[in-house]
Parts: sequence; C-alpha cells; structure tokens
Amino acid sequence: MSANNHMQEAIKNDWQNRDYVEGVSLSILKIAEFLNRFEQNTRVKMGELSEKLNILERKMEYVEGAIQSVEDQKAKQ
Amino acid sequence: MSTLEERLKELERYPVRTNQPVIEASTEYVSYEIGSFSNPLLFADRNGFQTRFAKEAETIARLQNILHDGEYFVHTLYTYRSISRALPQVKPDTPDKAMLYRKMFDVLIPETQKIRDFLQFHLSTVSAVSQIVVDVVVAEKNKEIPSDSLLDILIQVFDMILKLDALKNMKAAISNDYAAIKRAAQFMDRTNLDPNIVNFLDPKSEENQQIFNFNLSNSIISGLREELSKNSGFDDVVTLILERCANNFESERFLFCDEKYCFLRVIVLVIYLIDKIPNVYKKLPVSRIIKLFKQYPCVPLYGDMTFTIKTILKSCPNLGDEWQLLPKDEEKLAREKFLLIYKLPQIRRDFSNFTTRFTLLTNKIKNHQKINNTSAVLDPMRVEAKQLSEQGIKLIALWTTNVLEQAAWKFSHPAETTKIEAENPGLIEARTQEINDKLKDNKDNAGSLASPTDPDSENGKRSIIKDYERVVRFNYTAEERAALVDTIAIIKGLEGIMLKYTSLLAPLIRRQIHVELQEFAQVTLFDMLARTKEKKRPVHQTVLELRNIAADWLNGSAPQVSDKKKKESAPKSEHPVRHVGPSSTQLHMIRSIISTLISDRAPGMTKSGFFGATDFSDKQVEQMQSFYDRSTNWNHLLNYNATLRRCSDLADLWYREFYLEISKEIQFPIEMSLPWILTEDILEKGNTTLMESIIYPINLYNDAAYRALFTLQRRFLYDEVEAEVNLVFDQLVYKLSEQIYSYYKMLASNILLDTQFRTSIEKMQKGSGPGRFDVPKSRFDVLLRQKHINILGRYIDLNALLAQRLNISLRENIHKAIQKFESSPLSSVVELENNLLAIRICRDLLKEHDLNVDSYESIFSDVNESTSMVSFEGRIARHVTEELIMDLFATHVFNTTTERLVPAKITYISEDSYERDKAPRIPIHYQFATKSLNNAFNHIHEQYKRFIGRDHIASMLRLVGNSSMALVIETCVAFIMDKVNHDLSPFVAALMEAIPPKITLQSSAYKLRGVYGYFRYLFRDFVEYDELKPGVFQAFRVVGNAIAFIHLLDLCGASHELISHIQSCSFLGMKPLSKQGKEKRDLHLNSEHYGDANGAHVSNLSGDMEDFLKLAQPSDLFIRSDIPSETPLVKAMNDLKIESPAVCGDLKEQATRAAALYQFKRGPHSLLKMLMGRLSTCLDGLRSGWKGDRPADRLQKLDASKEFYRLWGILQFVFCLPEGDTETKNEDMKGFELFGDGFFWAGCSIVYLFDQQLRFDAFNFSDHVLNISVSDQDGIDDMKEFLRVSREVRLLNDRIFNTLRAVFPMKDAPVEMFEAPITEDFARVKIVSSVTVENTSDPVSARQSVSFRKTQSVIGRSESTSSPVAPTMDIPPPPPL
Repeated sequence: MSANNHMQEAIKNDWQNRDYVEGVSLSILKIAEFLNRFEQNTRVKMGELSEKLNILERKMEYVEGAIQSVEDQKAKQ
Repeated sequence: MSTLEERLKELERYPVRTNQPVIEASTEYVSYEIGSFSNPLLFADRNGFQTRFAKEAETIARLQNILHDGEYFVHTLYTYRSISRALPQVKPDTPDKAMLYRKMFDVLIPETQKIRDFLQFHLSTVSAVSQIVVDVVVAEKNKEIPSDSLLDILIQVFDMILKLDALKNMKAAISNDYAAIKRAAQFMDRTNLDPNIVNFLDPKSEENQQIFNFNLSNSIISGLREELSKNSGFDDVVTLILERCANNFESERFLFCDEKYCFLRVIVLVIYLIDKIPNVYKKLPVSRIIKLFKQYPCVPLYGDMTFTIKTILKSCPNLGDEWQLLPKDEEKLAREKFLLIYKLPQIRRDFSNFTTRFTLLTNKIKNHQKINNTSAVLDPMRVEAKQLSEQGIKLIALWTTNVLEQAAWKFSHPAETTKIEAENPGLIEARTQEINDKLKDNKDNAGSLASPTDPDSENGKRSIIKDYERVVRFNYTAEERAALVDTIAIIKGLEGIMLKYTSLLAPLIRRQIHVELQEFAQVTLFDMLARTKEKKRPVHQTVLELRNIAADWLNGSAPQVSDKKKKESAPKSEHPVRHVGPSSTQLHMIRSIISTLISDRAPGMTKSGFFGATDFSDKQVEQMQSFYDRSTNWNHLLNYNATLRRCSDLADLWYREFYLEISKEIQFPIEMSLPWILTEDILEKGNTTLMESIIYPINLYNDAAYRALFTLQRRFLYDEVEAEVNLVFDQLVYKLSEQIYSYYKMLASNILLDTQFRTSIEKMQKGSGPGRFDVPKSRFDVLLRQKHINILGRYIDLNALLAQRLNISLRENIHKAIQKFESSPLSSVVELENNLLAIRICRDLLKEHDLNVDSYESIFSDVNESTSMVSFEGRIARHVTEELIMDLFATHVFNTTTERLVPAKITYISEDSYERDKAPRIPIHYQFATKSLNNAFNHIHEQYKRFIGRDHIASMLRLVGNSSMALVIETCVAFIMDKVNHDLSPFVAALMEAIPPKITLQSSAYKLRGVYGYFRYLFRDFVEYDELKPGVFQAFRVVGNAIAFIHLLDLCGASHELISHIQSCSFLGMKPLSKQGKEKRDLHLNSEHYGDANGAHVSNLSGDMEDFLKLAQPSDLFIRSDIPSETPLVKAMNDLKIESPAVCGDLKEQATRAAALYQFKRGPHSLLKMLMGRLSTCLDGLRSGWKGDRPADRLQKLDASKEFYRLWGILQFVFCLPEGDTETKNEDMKGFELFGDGFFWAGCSIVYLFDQQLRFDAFNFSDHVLNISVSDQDGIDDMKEFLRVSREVRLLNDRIFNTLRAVFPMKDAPVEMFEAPITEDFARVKIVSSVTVENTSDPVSARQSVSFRKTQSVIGRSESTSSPVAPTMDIPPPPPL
C-alpha cells in the first residue's frame, strides 16, 4: 500500500509540476501571439511608410526628368 | 503571478491596425506549439507508472522508433530523383573513360548508400515486427491481452511497410541508379579508393545478393510475409489487426485522411500476408471487407500516388474473385462518395453553422472575461469551448479528407484522350507541331533518330498529352474546379478563424479535459472499484491502478474503497483547478488499461457459468467505452494549433513526384499545376464571387513548401516550389491587373457615357433590354486592400504590385490612345479627348480604391512627351500642328456661318504628300472595355468625324494645353507668313502684272448683260489661266483657312478665358458691384451715351461699337477693386510679420508681382489681332510689289490703278463665275465647295491690311454687276448662278471686314484734302469719300499691249504654264450697247 501511496504522491506532484509548466507555456503562447500582432502592426506601418516613400520617389523621378530637360537645354547652349 | 498576468493582459490589449480583410490562409510570424501528438519522449517515463503496461509501452516505443525511421525512408523514396538519367553517356571513344566512370561513381555512391540503408532498415524492421508479433501471440495465450494502442501502432507500422513497398515498386530510378553504379564500378579508375567501399558490388557478396532480391517488386511485403510465416499463430494476431482496422474504419475512429485510408490499406496487406494459410478466410468477415473494397475502389497512398487494391489482391489467389466485380451503379455511388461537387452544399452549411456558433462563443467568452476582469469562464462556456474546438478540428479534417479523396479519384480515373481532344480543339495539332519542331532541331543538332509523333494513333495521343495532364489538368470540370476552390477557401478560412483564438481556447480546453478526466477517475471509477472489490475480481487491482494513474486529488490521497455491499452515494469529484491535460504517457496508459478492461477477449468479460457475471455491469462498460471514445482526440486537442495546421494541410494537391517519375520529366509547366489551374480558372471567370478566394489556391504552395522544408526536408523541392510561385505570382499580378483595369475602365466609360443617350440606345436596341450597360458589383475591392499577403513566408504587398502594373497599364492606354490619334485626322481629337477622359476617370476610380497610381497629369505628360520644362512640344501638339499644316489648311473648306472646316471634295495637292502612321491595334480594355460601350461611343464619335468645328477646337485647346498651344499657334502664324511670302507672293506679283490697264465700272446704261459681258471678257485670261485654281486659289485657301482657324481659336478661347478670370477674381480682390454701385454705373453709362461723350479715341468706329468697347473695358464702375496692391494676397503679405527678412524679405514684392500677373487684361484679347499685326508687318515687305501702282493722279485714274484690291476684285469675280460655261475640268464643282470661305478670308485680310477695303467696296466688280442687276433684269436667267454667288460673297466680305475691324481697328488715316477739278474731264468720276491715301507715286506702267476687237466670241487663250506667269492680256472693247 505504501508503494501505492508513493505513486499517488508522485502523480500528484507530476500534475502540479505540469500545471506550472503548462502555465508558463500558455504565457509563452500569449507572448507569441503578441509578437505576431506586433509584427503585423509594424508591417502595416512599414508598408504605409514604404508606400509614401514610393510615391515620393516616383514624383521625384518625374521632377528630375523635368529638370533634366532644363539642364540638357543649358548644356546645348 | 499576478503581475505576470497583468503584463500579459497588457500585451493582449495591444491593438492591431489593419483594415485588410482576410482572404488567405492564416500565417504566423512566430509560431508556438503547445503540446505534441507525436510522443517525442517515446514514453521515457513509462516506468513511473507502476503497471504491467509499462512493458507494452516499451514495445510501442520501439515500434514508434521504427515508424520514425520508416518515415524517413518513405520521404527518401518519394522524393528520389534519378541520378543516372542526368549522367552523360559514355561512348567507346570517350577519352579518359576510367576517370569519367570514377566521377560517376563518386556521384552515385551517396545515393546508393541510401538504398543500402533502406535494405538494412527493411531487414531489421521485418525481424523486429515479427518478434513483436510473436510476443503478442505469447501474451494472448497467457490471457494478457494486448491493448488497442499496441494494435493501433502495429497498424501504422504495417501501413508504413506497405507504403515503402509501393514506393519502391514505383521508383525505377533506384534500380537504374544501382545498375549505373555497378557499371561505373566495373570500368572506373580505382586509384585512392578504399577497396571496402565497393565490396557490396561484388557479385559474390551477400549484400549484393540481398540488394538484387530487394530490387524485385513487392520484395518488402513478401519479405514480411516470409518472416511472419515462420511463426505459428501469427495469423491470429494479424486477424486481430484486420478486425481492428475494419472496426475503426466503420466507426470512423480517425481524424486525418491518411489515418482513414491506412485502415483500408492494412486490411489489404493483412489479406496478402495470410492468404497462403489454409482455411484462413473462414475466420474472417470476408463479405464485410469486400463491401468496404467496393465502396472505396481507390485509396490515396502518398502524395500523388494512389493505391490500387487489385494489384495486391491479384496475388491472393485464395480470396476468390468476388472483389473484382464492381457493379456499374456502384461506380456512380462511388463517384458521389468521392466528388466534391456533391458534398459542397453540406460543407457550406456546416461551415456557416459552425462559424456562427464559434464566433458567438468566442465573443461570449471575451465579453465575460472583460466584464468580470478575469480569465476564468463559466462552466457551460468551457464545455462548449472544448466541444466546439473538437468539432471544428473534425470538420476541417473531414473536408480536407474530402478534397484528397477527390484528388485520389481523379488520379485513378484519368480523362480519356478523345474527350480531351473534343474539349480542346487544336491542342493536339499545336502539341504535335511543337514536338516535331523540337525533334527537327534535335536532328539538326545531334542527328537523333527519334521518329516524329503520329498524332492520329491512340499511343501517339498519349505521348502528346501527358499522364499528369490527363489526371489533373483535363480531369476537373469547371464546376469541379470552382467547388475545389470553394472548399479550399472554406478549409483555410475556418483554420484561420480557429487559429486566431488559440490562446483564448487552449487554457479552456486543458481545464475541461482535466475536469473530465477527474470526473472519470474520481466518480465513474468509484463505482467500478466498489463492484470489483465486492465481487473479489482480479481486475480490481487494475482498476485501482487506473485510478491512481489518472486522479489528481485535492487533498493528496484517494478515499478508501469500502468492500461493504452498501449503496454509497457516489463521491463528488474534488480536484484542484488546473489548466493542464494528462501527459502523453499518462493518457496512453489510461486508454490502454481501459481498452483491455472492456475488451471482448478479456477473461473477466466473458460470462462463466449460468450465474457467472462479468467484471463490470453493462452500464459501467458503457461508461468506460464512452470515456475511451471521448478521450480519442485529447492529444489532438491539447495540441490545438499543430493539429489544426495538420488538418488543413493540402500540400498533396501540389506534389507530383510519382507522375514526374513515370513521365520522365524534371518538372511540369505551371499550366499543369493544380494551384495555378485553379487560380487561372478564377481569373478567367472574371468578376465573380470566387475572385475573393483567389489567394487560397496560391496558399497551397505554402503548404507544399512547408512540407518540402519540414517534413520531406528536401531543398530542391522547396526551390522548385519557389520557382513556380515566382512564375505564378507574376502571372497572377499581370492577369489580375488587366482584369481590374478592364473593370474600372468599364465603370469609367459608363460614367462618361451620357445617361440620356444610354437610355435611348437601350430602348432602341430591343432585346438587349435595359441594364445592358449596368456594371456588376466589383469583387476586386477586397483584393485591392491586400497589403501584406504571405507567400512562402514572404510578405507581399499585392496592392503595391497591382498599383505598379496599373500604372503601366494607364501609361500604355494613354500611349495607345495618342497613337491612334496620330494615325487619324484632326477630327478624331474629340475621340481622343473622350478616350483620355475615360482613362482619367478610370485612374481616379483606382485611386479611390487605395491604389497608388500616379497623378493623371504626370502620366499624361510622360506619355505625351511633354515633361520637358523648356520645350513646349508634346506628341498631341506635334500631331495637331502636323495635321493643321499638312491636311487641314490645304484640303478643308471653311464655312464662316457654321464655323466649320469640312474636307473638300477635290484637293489640289497630291494624295501621297502626307501619310499618317499606321493605326495601332488596341485591345478592348484599352478602348471602352465592352463591345456595347464601344459601339455607343463610336456612335458619338461618328458625329464628329467629317468636320472640324468649335467642339474640335475646344477639345484641342484642352488637350494641347496653354503652353503647347502657343507653339501650335506660332507654327500656324509662321506657316501663314511662309505661304504668303513663298506661295502667294509670286502668283500675286505675276497676276498684278496681268491686271488689265483699265477696268471701268461701266454705267448701267450698258445694261446687266453688257456690264457682265464686259467684265467677263476683260478677265477671260484669268479664267483661262491654268494655275488659277491649283495655284492661286489654293494658296489663298491655305492662308485663309489658317486665318480662319486662328479666328476659331479666338472664339473658343474666349469663354475659357472668361471662366478663368471669374475663378481668379476673388483672389485678386475683385468683387461684384453693390446695388448702389450698379445704380451709379447705370447713371454714368446713360450720361455717357446720351450726353456729349467724347469718343475721340475710337472715332473711326460707329456709336454701337464704341459702347461695346467701353463695356469691354473693366473700370471701377464694373468691379470694386482690381488694384494689384490691394488684392487679398498682397494684403495678407503686408499683414505678415516677417521674422527673417533675409529669407523672405521680398515676399511682398513677389506677391504684388503675382497679383499683377493675374490681372485681367484691359482691352479685347485676341489671337486674330495678333495675327493681323504679324501679317501686317509681313506684308510690309511685300507692300511695294502688291499694293500696286497707283496712278499719280489717282482720283482721276482710279479705274486704271493696279492696286491689290483690283486684283482681288478680279479674282473674286472669277470665283463667282459659274464653272459650267468655262471649260475647266471640274465642271460640277462650285467655287465655295472647292475652296470655301477661306479663300475670302485670305484675300479680304490682305485688302484690309493694305487699308484698301473701302476702295475695294467701291470698285468691287461682282458687286457692281449685282447692283446693276437690281435695275436691269434682262438676261438675268443666264447669270443666276453668278448673281447668287456674288450675293453670298458680298455678305461674306462684309462679315469678314467687320470681324477684322472689330479685332484689329486700323489707324486713322490723315484727312486728305482734294482740290476741286479744274477741267471738266473728271466731272464724270464718282468720288468715294474717306479713302486712305498714301504718298507713293509710282509711275504708270502700262507695258501691256492693248488691242481692241469688236467681238467677244473668239478669245485668245493664254499659254498654259506651270509656274505662275502672268497671262497675256487681250482686253476686249466694251460690248456693244
């Protein structure tokens, strides 16, 4: 019977330990989820920034092209 | 812990800012899996549980090890690609043969090692499995029945063996490679080679023999059969396995597709294993099994391989051949079991029901947690959470299974070539052509002897249409493809929804499982313990064990079980609150014990004797069975997210290693790849609801790549997936952008199309009905908002990619529109404007949908080549100028009344002198997107095709723009100058010479006939002058048209200018007058009008004109203030406190300048005025020659003067002459039809600029005839035409002169004084008042010989000359009175 008690004790401890580990694990899960959300958010923001930069870049290209024409003209003269 | 919880909550509160609807499978950047269902520790803690099952767990661990290794070989075999096929052929004359062989050997040896490892694995597995089976046989005899778990794992191992066998049979590459290495080893250079390495190739070695045997087909399962048959009684165990398989399959104890069909496959394998044992089938439920076979004729095996039951059953002669008979109606039944289209309605229903419940629950839980500020939830919520999660997982798994079953069905039922041929006409021919071309090339290059394929034979067709195409590309109907996309979207969609709530549900599931387990261990088992103890059953100890393993007591120890026979009330379950499930060993033990307790074969479960009882009551057995069933999926539930991912794994739809092997291809093109076929299908259907699911088929590549990297661990497969994705995605973006562009273009064209016109077309064209032009709802909106979709772990901004493509499309479209304009006459400028407008609206619509397309202006000026800041040229301006000069001025006829230029019927310039570019071919989405819209717009454009009028000019002004318009005008002006100087000038000079010395306005006494005849006779040489029309008139027409065009520009520009003035007024501080101001103005105007207004500055104008000009001049009476220094802009600058004068010191000055720049210009603003000024200066150079000689005493000799107006009078007279009675070529052509009003515009302008219009009015020959005709009607019938034209001309002249006077008033001529005539000779001369006189007095030059003749019948004709040469004059005497 003592072996039986011993095993009961061991199983009880096992439950307890695993509960603790699982708690940590679930917390990590939440952190992972946060990281995913954070990453997504950052991605959206970066995307917006990149979009703005793209627009600026394209506009710059256009303006550069226009200005180049003046410079070409000057060079010709 | 509380702080940790708080912190976690804080993290949870972190907001996600995205407005992108989810239309793709869920993706995670960091993925964290809690729990594991693969038992990674292999029950290392088994001995901690003191039970007999610890030993069994060890066996299971061994089997699991075998499974794990076997998995590796399954992957290796499936992904095995032949090395030897890539090796070069060694010809007898190859130099360094030995070295080459050595290299081949080196390349092949690692691959061969895999085969050798595989052989070793096979041998060890067979013996291990055989040993375990023997152990089980022994245990059964000892009444220690094996648990179901052991049987389950044995089933898996058997399945793996079967798979390995099938894969090995399929891969011819293995034996080919082995043969190649053998051959290489024979001839290779063996320096520096460890001789042991080639030992296995020695024909005498044992391993060589083994490999030879191993390479035979079915060697793996036959090896197993041989090994097992050595042990008697093995058939009992495998029969157990077979029964378990059949039970599991029928009671659906499986989750994944592979698990489901594993049972069927193992049944087949078991039959194969025991077939040789006599009378074995008597023990088996054969009919039940055969029924299963009939229901599932095709079984998925691995990847794109299917398992054909027949191939194995064929080698089981003792089974009979009942299984071969598949009745026809069952074929249909099977179709309905396998094909998705029949299941889709149910799937859709389940999906919507489930998502509703699931979302409701999650919202409820979140709300509850939020309101109570706790992470705990109510019990019913928790129960439902677990139940719904399980249901969801099951649903997804079921749908995935459905998809894979359909794929298997398709794989085993390839489409018939004849059917493919009928559905895809032209395919065979195109392919044959391609293949033959390739063969030809090869022959040319390498002299290959391959014969051309014969497309007519069945074999030929088979070689043309690849097997993989027959099972995939041509094997799904359109509905099946749509259903497949739908199902994939549903699977991936639900997976995404469920994965989103992992962290919410995972603790609840764990808690619920813990509660259920404790309920079982503490309550349900209590009853059984009592019964077994009371009846002193040997199983009591086992039940106690079971409780000890499972229970988690609140106070640490279990309550005692009394052996008294009394009805104790069942204890309550008392356990700590835990968010944790049982460990995998624990759960395994619990389930193993239960399965043996309630097994039919358990010794305590059979009734012994009449009064004998079983260990447990029926109710207890039922309870245990129900718990056993419930806990089946616990491992999966504990591993929620990994299970979900595995459930929804559809990578099998991409893998095609089997078909690559049998068709000896390296890879198939994307047209044969299922994900792309589905995507393309959606694209081709266009704007349908499926469009929103377009990313899901592409997500299949994610699954495929994930499997390549993490399961198969094959780099080259990932590379292939990646390459295909790159290609597919490019295609997708390209096609999608085209569709989107087309859709928005259609929308734009619809907006542009006049509504009334549209309704009337719809009414007119019956049958098409209303709504023909209606635009369907857009399905692209959702796609356009995708800014980060995940493909192969890369985040892709679909929106940006589409915007990039659409930018290109916009450019291309504008390019095409301009190109079309460049290839057509100027009248198509209206069409161009409409085209550009549609593009502009389309661009604005795209911009509204968050697409970052460039501004219309920048795209337009880019394509129009007008970005340059120094040159004002653009493509449109260039073409307009070209058209004006080359076509419009030279070939059109101007009409002053309608203000239109119409193409002349006959032109005097050669046809090929001006050629336009060839018209480009324009795809429909670059026109107005649909056929009906195109037609509608064509109707509109047709109206503008045959003339140039105000609409065209207005369009032109808008398109060319202000800056470039200046260039166009300047070019026109320069052109006029050039024409005057070079074309007109020589003619005029020559014609001046030919003016008869004296042309008198004969008195009315000569009667109409006489006066007319006199002029006609006098001007006959002009009439007969060959160059008159093609040269002189044409030159006048060209110049006149150009002047008229400038005049039209003026008319059209005026309104535009007015509008821009009104728009800028408020910025310049101009305000409308107040009521008092208006009254004051009226007073002022009245006094000016009726009082003694001093209009000296406009004295040469009539009173009306004077008022008009006054009105046109803005003054303080009309607007309140337009003083530049008082405009709001300048005032604002004045009020501004300037902090740094160094930088913005001159702001005030600049503001004043800007205000001044926008001031409304005083005085009429006119291009014609400018033109006249320029023309006047130009004419200055010609004045001496053209203005003509003036008689010294011009008052006396007016009728003998040779001034320009005289010439013009003659030309006009000739113009008015009807063509009929002269002998020119174009008899039916009237002057106006040929040259139009432009002719008069040119002449009158010059006359006006020479300030001769009054004299011209006075001495106008045609007018004179007209005047005479008033008093004398005799012979009027003969000259009706002449008189009609003259009348028109008179009106026209008045009009032109009035216009010119209005825009370009001439300076006052000094008043000339005339002495009264001394002699009476001049008394007869009528004197015209206020004639401008210039002080030039050229001597009279009358070089022409003049001779008078009596008759006018014979007229000497002048010599025809090509260059302008003055006609010789032969002036007749006045006709007889």
